Amino acid sequence: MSDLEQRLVELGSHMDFPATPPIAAAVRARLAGAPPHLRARKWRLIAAALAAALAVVFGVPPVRTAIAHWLGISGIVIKPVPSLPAATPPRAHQSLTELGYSLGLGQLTSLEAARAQAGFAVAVPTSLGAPDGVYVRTNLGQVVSLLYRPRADLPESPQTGAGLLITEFRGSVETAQFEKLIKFGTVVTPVRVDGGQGYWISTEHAIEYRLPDGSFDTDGLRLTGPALFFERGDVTVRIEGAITEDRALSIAAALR
Amino acid sequence: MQRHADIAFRTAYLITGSAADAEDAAQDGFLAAYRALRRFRPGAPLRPWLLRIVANAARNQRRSSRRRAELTYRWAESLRTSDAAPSPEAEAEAAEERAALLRAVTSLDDADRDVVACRYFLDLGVAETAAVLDCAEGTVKSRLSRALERLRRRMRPAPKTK
Repeated sequence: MSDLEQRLVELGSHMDFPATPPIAAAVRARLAGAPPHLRARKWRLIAAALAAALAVVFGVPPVRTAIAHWLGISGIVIKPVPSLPAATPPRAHQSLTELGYSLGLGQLTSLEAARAQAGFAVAVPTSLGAPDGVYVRTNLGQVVSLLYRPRADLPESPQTGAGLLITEFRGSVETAQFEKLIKFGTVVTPVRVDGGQGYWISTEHAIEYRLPDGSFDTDGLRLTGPALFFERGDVTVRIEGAITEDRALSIAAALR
Repeated sequence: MQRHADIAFRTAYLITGSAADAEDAAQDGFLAAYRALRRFRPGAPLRPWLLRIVANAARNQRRSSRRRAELTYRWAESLRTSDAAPSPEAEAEAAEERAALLRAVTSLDDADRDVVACRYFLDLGVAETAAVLDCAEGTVKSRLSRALERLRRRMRPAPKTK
């Protein structure tokens, strides 16, 4: 580097830039001019898509929390971390109540009761039949979980002990109910599910729940295997199990 | 997000020379990026793409500001004094040298000044500089050596004629 170049670098280090104004907030406000429906949704999509691009391209090394918040589908925030925290593996042969408790799914109930309680249309994959267990969790909006015990077409997940777990809730970007922790380098693949935006995570990751006070329940943290999550109308759906992306997508397509 | 906002705003600031214009340009740029998202090639790095769009908005801003009045570069006000110098005199001298160099940079034409600002003031790599200037990477190198040559000539005391 020449002497002149060194002096230019030194000059640059003495430049005081004006404080960066809140650009994202201003842009959001300007987008408020768009029809309201489109607005919230599209902003969510750009955030998700940009961050997904980041996640995929860089395997997420440079991510700070602020950027991590860009990668959110309604109600779910994805946070890259250097390593996954340890979580207790599920005990084998648990009762449905125990299984629901250990996975933090809430109260065991019936599908009819869950539907009455949820405040949104709870969908069940027609291709799989009725779930073995239905749970409702109510600490921050209604979260309904459908659990299928392991069976021939739904192998047991080493992380959850279940054959398949489907979680449905009405999400919002502002107050995410779930935080997903992924290891640096985890690839999050954007997918389209029934015309809506979704993501597929093919490897093990961790899930935390939001508590009513707004903090995340690190004690309730649990590991999960591959998962597909997507928006279906105003309901966010997560499908997790020891299954392939194609299988997850076909289960998603069979939701009614 | 904030990291992108910082670099985008600073890039716009160095192009427009004004914080208010830079804010407008950065907002326009982010909005344009948002609307152009469908054209973003998945897998491509995000930052140069965003910088290119913001820099374009900043150049538009610069052109329209110029129509109103000759643009005054306010970078000179951004110079900080440092207390690392061995003595107040030495610091005063160093500050004067920096001010002189900055004046020389601001006296360059837009193309030369932009490339110098990207490389040395924003510390952007060649690829990101090319994105900001909306040109090829090879052009960045040739433009940079031309700009440095012009700077050298301006910094050198005028040759004495006999």
